[in-house]
Amino acid sequence: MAKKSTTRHLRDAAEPILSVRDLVVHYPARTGHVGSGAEVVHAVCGVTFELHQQETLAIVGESGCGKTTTARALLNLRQPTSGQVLYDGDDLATLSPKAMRRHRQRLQIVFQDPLASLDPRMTVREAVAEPLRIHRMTGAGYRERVDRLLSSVGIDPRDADRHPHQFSGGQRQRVAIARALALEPQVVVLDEPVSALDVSVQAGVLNLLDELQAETGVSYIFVSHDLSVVRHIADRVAVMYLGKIVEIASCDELFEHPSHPYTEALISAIPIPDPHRERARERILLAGDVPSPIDPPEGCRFRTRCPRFANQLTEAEQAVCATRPPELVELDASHASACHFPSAVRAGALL
Amino acid sequence: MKAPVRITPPVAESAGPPGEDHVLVVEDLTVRLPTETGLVDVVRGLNLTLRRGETLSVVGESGSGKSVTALAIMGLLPKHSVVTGSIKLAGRELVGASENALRAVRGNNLAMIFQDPMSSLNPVMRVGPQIAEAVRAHGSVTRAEAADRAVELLTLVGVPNAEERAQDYPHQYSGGMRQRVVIAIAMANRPDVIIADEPTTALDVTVQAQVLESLAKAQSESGAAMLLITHDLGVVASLADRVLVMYAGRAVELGTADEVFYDTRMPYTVGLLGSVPRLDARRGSTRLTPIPGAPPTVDRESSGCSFAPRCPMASPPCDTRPKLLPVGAAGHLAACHFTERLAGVAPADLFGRGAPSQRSAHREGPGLMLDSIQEETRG
Repeated sequence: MAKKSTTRHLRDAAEPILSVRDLVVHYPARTGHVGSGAEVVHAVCGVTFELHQQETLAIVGESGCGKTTTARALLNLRQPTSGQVLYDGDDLATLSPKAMRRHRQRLQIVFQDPLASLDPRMTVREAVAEPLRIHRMTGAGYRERVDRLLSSVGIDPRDADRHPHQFSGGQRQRVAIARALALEPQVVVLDEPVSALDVSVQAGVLNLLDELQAETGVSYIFVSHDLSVVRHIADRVAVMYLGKIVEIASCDELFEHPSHPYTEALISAIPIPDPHRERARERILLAGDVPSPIDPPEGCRFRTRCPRFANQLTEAEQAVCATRPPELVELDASHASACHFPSAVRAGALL
Repeated sequence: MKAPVRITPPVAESAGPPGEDHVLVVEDLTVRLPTETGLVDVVRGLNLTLRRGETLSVVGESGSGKSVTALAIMGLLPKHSVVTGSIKLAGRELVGASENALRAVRGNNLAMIFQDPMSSLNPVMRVGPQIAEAVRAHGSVTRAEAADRAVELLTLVGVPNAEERAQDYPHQYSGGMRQRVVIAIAMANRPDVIIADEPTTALDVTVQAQVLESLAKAQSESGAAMLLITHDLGVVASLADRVLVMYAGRAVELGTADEVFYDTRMPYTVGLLGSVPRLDARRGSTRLTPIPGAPPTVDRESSGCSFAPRCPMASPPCDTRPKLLPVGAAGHLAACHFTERLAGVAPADLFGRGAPSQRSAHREGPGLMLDSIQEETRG
């Protein structure tokens, strides 16, 4: 397949199709204690990025980093606390559900578990046809269109009068993708779309996503915890930690020249399925666990686990990390990092 | 477990006779599990040997029988499961052994680590006493000695401020820390064999790295052999000495990590390696080569090679099931009629042509599930 430009810039000459500015999502903590209602989970804290035509932007991070909340807030599936999501002249964050409906057709989402997102009583054909019916696109050629959608994801239309439970996990996810693409959306949010699948099946779904993008020009926001998958599919990658983007760069740049110490640790932690390479690698082990998003650390949120903070910085430098939250600063046109003391280029030493 | 019928195993397909340094020898293991529709074969004639101190990784996708194999070795299968064949741990037969005999073996000779640490920890007991309990269960030590040993073990697996944290309950620990407590309990009695079933699958990658480090350390400290069950080929590459690949309840390839990764001789293994996206491969430089179709459902068994319906090399000889036979170097075994033809074959050579995203393979490939349902309804 033709390769897209890998040197896509943070700010493209072309207008972005979706732009997220200073997105914040807070929600009340459910700790189960009486009188704890005042506690707030700081799930997403000032996230800014842009998405371009036919681009795959991956949002990666570990559990609790806010990647899924970000993705859902984009589509107004969770009400943002503040910030803007600019799409087609509107700020989605402030739209009423009714006004949002106009845009839903062009903004779709695929979830991790297709069995949970497909109605078990609907046949696969009905599931794929439903969005067309809702948006009253049942005119001439409607049935052929459903068949074409099913074929385009590798499901034989002759099997389409069966129910989701009669399909394998990979096939079900293909159905969910066909359903998301039925209305020819501009943006599809993919929330861990292959995490529940076995690798041999996952590979087929990843290739399918790639091909569909080349054919339709759709843009993806690909939320994942799996950096190997992201390396394979993304044009740009945003790394999140405790509700903030700590680094964002083109895919190759991020993996080959990571600048933020968290990104470095993340990359070095992922085992490579190649015994010789894997055993020759140097692993950066982080101390401890992710702090609670109810009470995130002051200053840089990563400093409590940061090996550079602990081992390399002077006391004066540490004081900077402890008091000033680092801003996302551009290192060059395709790379920004939120660290007061970013790495010098390490040229692939982690891989 | 109901005492299963012993069946004399046929000639073992593993390399060479079990020797002195083999702490675990599994011969012709079959496991049939009870389901709504009757007993289904989940493990079908598995042979494996584990040498002292080595790490053998069992890999395979869901339904391959890898976890059931682990449960069978530990004697933790559901009631009414039927187990045949032989499982010898340090010379002692476990198949058909009484619950009392098994209890003496578990913890002492055999320890286990599961995916979810909370399933093996007692939520209402402090962590220190839980480890001490394991220490005391199989050895004659005083309460105080056991408590000291507990703190020592916690330190060894990398729990900071071990003395203090020993007084906490499991819920006060994070997921990664809990898994380290389980590792500490596993090594409490210097077992001969540790069975780890997807030990890091539920953990975040940075935590996985910490836990794998603890696991490797625990193993080298205790000198135990480890049976590491995982679907993550990266974890296999980092820890395994030898690798056993399972498909549809059978071993299809066995060899050193180098042999299985670099001199792959079974089409399924080739496909598996070609399906895994790699962190060190540039976007667009390599194309993933998925295996068409889906694994067979457990209730279906053909007399031929069980991978044949998904295999690009399938041809008439595949109607007879291939035996697990030596290829090249001693100890490298593969179950395929065409192992010689697979020398130096890359995943893209085998699976790369034709419909890469399986768009046209729907009938014979992903239709497998459907086919089996059709057969059922036809009755």
